[in-house]
Amino acid sequence: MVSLLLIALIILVLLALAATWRIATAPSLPDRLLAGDLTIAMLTFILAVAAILGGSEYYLDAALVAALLAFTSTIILAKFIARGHVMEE
Amino acid sequence: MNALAWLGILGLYTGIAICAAGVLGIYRFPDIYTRLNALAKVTTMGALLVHLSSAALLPWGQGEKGVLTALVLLLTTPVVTQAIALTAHILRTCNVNREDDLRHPQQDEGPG
Repeated sequence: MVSLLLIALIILVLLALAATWRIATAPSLPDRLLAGDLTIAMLTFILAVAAILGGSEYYLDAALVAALLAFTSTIILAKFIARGHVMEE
Repeated sequence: MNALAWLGILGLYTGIAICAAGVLGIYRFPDIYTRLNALAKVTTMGALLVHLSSAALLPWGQGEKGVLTALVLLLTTPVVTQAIALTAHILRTCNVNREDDLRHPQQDEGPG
């Protein structure tokens, strides 16, 4: 079972690297936002598999925080790119 | 390995297959709106499968936060995709398939 989980972890890391590469090579700013959100979603998957492999539940805390931060940062960056400011004056 | 562990491994690899399809989608789909569709598939179905599988594979009582993470991703994905789509619409990101039906006629005159 450990080898199956290791293979899953390696595939997820490769997919996350592909999503990270898309941030650098995307044709437009919303595409970069999209790729960033996908990268952090992949990070939560990697942390979930690492929690099983490491036998510790604390990886799941990091995954939860990463998911919440991905939501917040993507919304704020989307508003900033579209309007030039985040908070109303 | 018991049946729950095999079920967890099966769900994990199904989620990884959905993730691979989503990453392929953001490289190959023609415009931003279809790429957002690929992103939403990864962060709803892929997240549910991977995180519920990790909760099934962990010892009893340790995996609840994985379920919570899956729920957070499930609830925040519509908001995120809507925000990115609105940004793409305001920035007039190229829509290669056809004209943007949501574009207002006077939007082309003034600043977006």
